[in-house]
Order: sequence, then C-alpha cells, then structure tokens
Amino acid sequence: MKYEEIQALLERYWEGETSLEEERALKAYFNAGAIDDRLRAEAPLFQALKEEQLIELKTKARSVGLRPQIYQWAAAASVALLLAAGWWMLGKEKNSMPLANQPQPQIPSAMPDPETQHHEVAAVVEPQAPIINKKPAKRRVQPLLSSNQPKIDPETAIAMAEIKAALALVSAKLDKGKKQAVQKASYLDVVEKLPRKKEG
Amino acid sequence: MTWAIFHEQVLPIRHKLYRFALRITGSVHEAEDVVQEVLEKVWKTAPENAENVQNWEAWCMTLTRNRSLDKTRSQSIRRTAPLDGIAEKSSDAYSPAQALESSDLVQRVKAYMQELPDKQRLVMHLRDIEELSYDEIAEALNISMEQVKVNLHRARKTIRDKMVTMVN
Repeated sequence: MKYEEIQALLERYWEGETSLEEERALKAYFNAGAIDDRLRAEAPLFQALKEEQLIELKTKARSVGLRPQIYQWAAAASVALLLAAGWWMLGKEKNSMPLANQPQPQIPSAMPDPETQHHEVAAVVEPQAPIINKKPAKRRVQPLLSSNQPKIDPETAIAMAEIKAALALVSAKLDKGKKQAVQKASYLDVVEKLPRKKEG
Repeated sequence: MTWAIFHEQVLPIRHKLYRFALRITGSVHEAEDVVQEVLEKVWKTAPENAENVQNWEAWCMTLTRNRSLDKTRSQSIRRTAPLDGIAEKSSDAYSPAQALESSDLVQRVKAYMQELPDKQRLVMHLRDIEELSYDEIAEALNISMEQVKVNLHRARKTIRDKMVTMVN
C-alpha cells in the first residue's frame, strides 16, 4: 500500500470511521516490515494490537472441555462391561450342559483369561473411539500446521491421560468382575463334584 | 447443546474469552478461572438456554464480562494500570512486558491501553483486538451503539495523544 493510502486510512481510524476490513489492512501494513519512515510513529499501536491478538489461554480450560468427553468414555466403558458380563453369562450357560456330563469341570473355557478379555474390551470400545476422536483430531491438526507452536502437545497429552484413565477404570472393573467370576466358578466346581462323590 | 456444538462454537472462542477476562481482571490466574467457570456454566446450563441463545459467542462474552467484574469487585483486584507506564512487578498480574521481544514503544502503548477508563478500554479491546462489529460490542457490553462509537473514539484519541508525547 502507498503512503497516501495508509495516511488516509489512519486519519479515518483516529476518527473512528474505519471498517473492520480497513482496520485489518492497517494492522497488516504495520506488521509486515516495510514501513514508510513518515509512518513510523504510528507503528507501535498496530504492533501492540497484533501482539495482544496472539495471547492465548494455556491448556487449563482445555481439560474443562474434555470433561464431557470423559462421560462418553464412561458410557463406552459401561457398554463394554455389560457386553463382557453378558458374554460371560452366556458362556456359563452353554458350558453348564457339558459340565454336568464331564467329570472335569470346564472352568478355563467358561472363564476368559485376562488376555482375551482385554482384547474383547478393546474390540468393543474401538468402534466408539473414532466417533469421539475424529473432531478433536481434526481441530488439533489445523493449528499445528498454521502456527508452528508446540502448544498442542500438552493438550494432546491431557487427552491421552484422560483416555488412559478411562481405560484403566474399565480394566479395573473387569479385573474385579473376573475375580468374582472365578469365585463363582469354583462354587460350580464344588457343586458338580458333590453328587458324583455320592454316586461313586 | 451437544458435545459437537460445544466443541465447534464455544471451545474455539476460549482464547477470545480469556483475553477479554484478562483485560478486565488484569490477572492471568483470575482470567483463567473466569474462562473455566464460564465454559462450565455454558455446558451445564446449555439445555435450558439452547432455545434462547442465538449467538453463543455474544452469550459467552457477556458471561465472561459479568464473571470477570464479579471477581474484580469481590476481590478488589487492582488491574495493572501503572501511572508511569511501567508494569507492576507481580508474578500474577498481567503485564504487557511479558512479550520481551517487542519494542519498548510497543510495551508503552499496551500500558496506555490498559490505563484507559473501563468502558473505553473494553470497547477498544473488543474492536481493535477481537475485531467485533459495533453491534456485537454493544451486545457484549450491554450498551448502545452510540456509546460504543463514542467510547471507541475517545479511547483512540487518548492513545494517539499519548503516543505523540511518547515520540516527542
């Protein structure tokens, strides 16, 4: 922009007559570097405005925003729990028939070992995960590209921590469920053996 | 309000809300608290407000302003408005000198802006930093359009006068 144009815009700016677009043009001019010597005295204001525009909230409020996401994870976790419980109950019923005929109770097949159980949970939770994560992921990528600020990393870290916490919760609940299941299964074992002893 | 709406319309303006709160309270910690409280309030009260609120940004700005003023009043926090243009030395206080790379003149202009009377300061902030229309400023500050224009004009005039004496 030429000196005359900027000078005219400035006069209107001081009078409060400029449009937002014209004000943006002034900020752009005074922050671009090549400033006409005759306009140097006005530059600090527009540089100050630009600097103030760049002030950003650190990660703190981000965790507030994530809080509702935790609820969705909790919902996913409870669905996973229900499914896991249902799956176990079904398995127990199916196995109760052959169990009666066989001398060896089939506890291992009725009881999933921790490995497969965790896989099952992962499989159940996974379909939920993309829906929850898609949008935040998109949003994070954009600022990362446009403004080379590593500020995104702590936010991602918070998100990861929250997800980990949610998964830990699921895992803890499953462990508890497993213990109870093992206990119940051992009762079954005893019950199955009792009549046979009498018969024998 | 669904999570998606909250995420797309409210969360992105958190920096704007923060700068606004910072302008009013003059304290980084207070401003952070204000934003956190406002976001929580918007999220919790969204179901009952969903039909009445048409412009979530303006609504959030109003909440931020009210909450910031409450904090400023209740704790009588002095905003950083040093008379000699040198920022107060407080770890918590918002100090324009935080951006060390910018020139001394730029810092002094920031201090001049912070010294403006409340209404002028907020109008100039919303116009020149947040780039809001006169309409939006009037709504956020709950004042008339005429008041917006008058205060903006006065604010810029004060800044200009101080800059002239600064340079000379």
